[in-house]
Amino acid sequence: MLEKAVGSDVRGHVAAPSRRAQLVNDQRFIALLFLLPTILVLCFVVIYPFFSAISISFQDKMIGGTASYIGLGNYYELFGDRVFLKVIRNTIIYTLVAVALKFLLGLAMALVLSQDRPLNFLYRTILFVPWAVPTIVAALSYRWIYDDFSGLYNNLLLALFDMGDVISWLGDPNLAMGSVIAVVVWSGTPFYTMSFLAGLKAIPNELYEAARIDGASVWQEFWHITVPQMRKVFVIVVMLSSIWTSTNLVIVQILTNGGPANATQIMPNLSYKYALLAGRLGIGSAVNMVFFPLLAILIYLLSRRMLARRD
Amino acid sequence: MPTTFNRREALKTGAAASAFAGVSILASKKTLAQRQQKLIYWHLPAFTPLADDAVRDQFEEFRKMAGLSESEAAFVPTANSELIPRLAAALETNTPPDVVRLYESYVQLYRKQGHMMDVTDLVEKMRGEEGGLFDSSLTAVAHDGKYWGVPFAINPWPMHVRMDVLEENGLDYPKTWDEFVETCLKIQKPPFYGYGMDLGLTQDATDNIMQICWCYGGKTFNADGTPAFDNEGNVAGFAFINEMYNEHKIIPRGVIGNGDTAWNNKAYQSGQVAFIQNPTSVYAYLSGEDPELMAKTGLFGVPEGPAGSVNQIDTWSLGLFNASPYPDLAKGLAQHMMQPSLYNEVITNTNGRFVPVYPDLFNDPWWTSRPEFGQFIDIAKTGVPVSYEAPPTATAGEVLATNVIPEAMQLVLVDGVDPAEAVAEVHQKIVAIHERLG
Amino acid sequence: MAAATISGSKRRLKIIGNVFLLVFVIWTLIPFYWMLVTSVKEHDEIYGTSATLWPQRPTLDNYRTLFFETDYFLFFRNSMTVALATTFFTVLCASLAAYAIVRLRFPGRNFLARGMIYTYLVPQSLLFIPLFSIMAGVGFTNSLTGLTIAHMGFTIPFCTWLLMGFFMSIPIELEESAFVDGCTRLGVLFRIVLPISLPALAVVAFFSFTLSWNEYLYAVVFNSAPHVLTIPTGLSNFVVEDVFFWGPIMASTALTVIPPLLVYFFFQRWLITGLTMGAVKA
Repeated sequence: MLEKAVGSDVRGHVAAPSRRAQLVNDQRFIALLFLLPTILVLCFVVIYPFFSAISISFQDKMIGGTASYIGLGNYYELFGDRVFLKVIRNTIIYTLVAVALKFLLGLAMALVLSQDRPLNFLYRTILFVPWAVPTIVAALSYRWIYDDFSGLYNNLLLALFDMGDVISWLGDPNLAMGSVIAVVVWSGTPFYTMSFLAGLKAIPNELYEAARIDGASVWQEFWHITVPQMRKVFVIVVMLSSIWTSTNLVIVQILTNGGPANATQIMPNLSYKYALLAGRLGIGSAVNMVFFPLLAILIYLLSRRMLARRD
Repeated sequence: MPTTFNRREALKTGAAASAFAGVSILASKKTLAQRQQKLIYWHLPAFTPLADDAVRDQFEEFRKMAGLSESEAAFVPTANSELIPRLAAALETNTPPDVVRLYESYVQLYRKQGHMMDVTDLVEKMRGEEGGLFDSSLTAVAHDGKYWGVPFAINPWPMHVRMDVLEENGLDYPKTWDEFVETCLKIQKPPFYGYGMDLGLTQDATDNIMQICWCYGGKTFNADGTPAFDNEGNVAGFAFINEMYNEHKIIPRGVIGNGDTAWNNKAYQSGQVAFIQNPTSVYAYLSGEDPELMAKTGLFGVPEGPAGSVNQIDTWSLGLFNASPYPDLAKGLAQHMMQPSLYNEVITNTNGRFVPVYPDLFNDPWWTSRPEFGQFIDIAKTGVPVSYEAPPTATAGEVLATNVIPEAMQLVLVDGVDPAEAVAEVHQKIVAIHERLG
Repeated sequence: MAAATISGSKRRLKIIGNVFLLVFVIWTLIPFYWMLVTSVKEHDEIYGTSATLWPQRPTLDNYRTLFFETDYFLFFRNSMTVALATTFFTVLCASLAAYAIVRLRFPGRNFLARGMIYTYLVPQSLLFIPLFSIMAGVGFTNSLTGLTIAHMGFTIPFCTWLLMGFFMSIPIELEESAFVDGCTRLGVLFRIVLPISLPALAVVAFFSFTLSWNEYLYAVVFNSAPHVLTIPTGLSNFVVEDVFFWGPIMASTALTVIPPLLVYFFFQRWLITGLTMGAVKA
């Protein structure tokens, strides 16, 4: 009975106020039902820890110790530290470059894989491998690959070219960040590839056919059909990947632990160092919170675009 | 849409969410009473499967002696990398294990926070055993006349040496650091390097750096625990290390990119360097996995600097926590495991990884039949902790854990910062830490 | 004429595409190749002075160590249970939530839509302590259930967002015609919206499964009892202080990669499902 009411109201444009109120109530009830499992899980697993982490950043809490509120004390200490400013810079560069590279490579691969080709399924599976490998292990493997003496790259280079000395991929301050970003890109591109592939598949073929009939070039097709249709997926993926890239400490920790001379030190690693190594949860949390406004603004702007509805 | 409905509904959902969150918070506060087991022991790997099994057997023995069922006593293997987050979470919920092996500075840190159980009676009993205990192990757990941890093992830092390479070149183990440089220059042939020093942002780097600074008269703390990093000895040490790295190039370039303490181990295990200064984890590993290389390895104290030769030791202790609901069981377990005969079984099975805290146990044939360990008893007696000249403190622990010293060293090596400047900066940082924790 | 130029440029694109693909595939496979090859090397070769590209004397010793000296099968089973449960419930919760946010009107809709993503701003390394506190309080430590719920906390927000994006591009006419036929909301969701969103659901499933399968921190901190350990915990067994036992580590990785790969391999056709929008006229 209720369902019938819903159906007829959506269809018809004339609805008495009482019916509309019914509809609204109905939607709310259904929405509640639909959302309940998610809300339960998120409340339980995320909300309390989340606010706890925020509030701790205003305390001088040590692991196992008592805490008192110190207002912005942690933040003052951070901004007075030369290293911290370097870390902010590192994190921004690291995130921008890694996300940009992943985006370009992921999109390129998604486009390539949506071309017709025998064995595409095999290539897709191969390109999925980095995602299937736990980040810790990927980092450990790359640490070895980058090793000065027993590393794969140096051994290959020595065999192919006549070099005076080995290249210190992680020890050379000029190369370290690039080497680390390469691992981030290796590990994270499949996420982009897969999401973009799914997005590409969702674009109706008729759009392309219509464009072809009008004599559009491949580039025009890409720019005027593919890109606009993919915008929502682009937004989601870039936004989330930016957040995840800038908060993932595993790769830097295993490869260089922030060295040499803090060339690869980024925010999540600094946060870990304070929070767990020094046991200073308060300032460790503050490190993370400093990036909070940046990322929050990013979310707000991008999500506004995405949530804009047609009606 | 009627706005009144909006607000009320929003308030309702908001209230429901906060109520839920509130319940979670309240529920999480009363965790202590819910522990099922009466005895929980977190076992960090003792380095060889045999030693691990020995500890497990001893745990089982005690469990039966204490009349506990299997579900009431938990033996929880914990990998080293797992300990930090697990213990952090456990301390924060006031549910630490009853017994776990802790590094020296953590015993002092947690004592300060009021977590550690007073185990003076246990330690006094151990002192009463034949030969007593090494003084160094006592200092590590002492405070205010009482003992707050049960000394478990001493961890020397000998120089591991490729004796075969020295022999080939007709050289002896260098007596001084200057001779060390000469020796390295003679024997090295890139990619085979002389000294696999750890200079990354890792804990071992702090040790390797200080081990040289001490030989130049440097130190980190005064005997009373106050920061004393700003001294000539450290500046000389930093300068010397810089020479080794940038001028003589007897250290592989890539070491400053090390992310963890394993890479100098691997370098030695793979035959890429002639010298490394490291706890005998390397030696123990070789005895199990590469006896050939082990046979070629010599263990020595550090070469002398202008201020002589100063060796390092770390002390590991069993920590017992105040939050333990059955302190007698915890103490009973520690006491059981530290009985010299049982304890000896574990220690000798670690293949040289750990040195016993009972000097008398050095008479065991395991040690006497191995001449390469000849110097160990001296090192154990005269060695100093990384917090030299002070005993291990919470401040020293944080300095070590956050790589304050290697960070500065890297600035000297990479950015050409003046050693005196770098040393002064480290001193400032240590002072700041000391103000917070001291 | 136009056709000839188009197929010409298409062919050029194809060639460029193939070149890119080849390069990228090689770059992708290098570390994995290294893992595989190391896992079958003997100890001496692993610790040799230089890197060998091909094992001189391949051996299964490392795998033997893995299977017989650790509880690998148990870890595997536990990881699989948690990963499958996480995937199933994530798909369920995210689908329901995304549909509600996109199609239904209710107060707090915008807040919920945006708010979920903010949960990612605090990394696991800071969340795990208060989360552990909750888990311990409710008795969910040392349980696979607790771990599943913790994983869902991470997968649900992203998956909901991805599905929201997809659902939004589904014309409402499709659903309206179903309503006319007397379908319920739930029915519309399951019979019309979800089948069309299979590519997105596939991404959601792969993401949830892989994330849960490889998750380390929560698995290590929440579960310490032997019967609930997962594979990443097993990995820590091979890192003893400053010694890495590379052989078993690589063997463990080589094996651990297989389930996500298999899941992907067999279900990637869901990714291929095209959208047949044109077929449905209002």
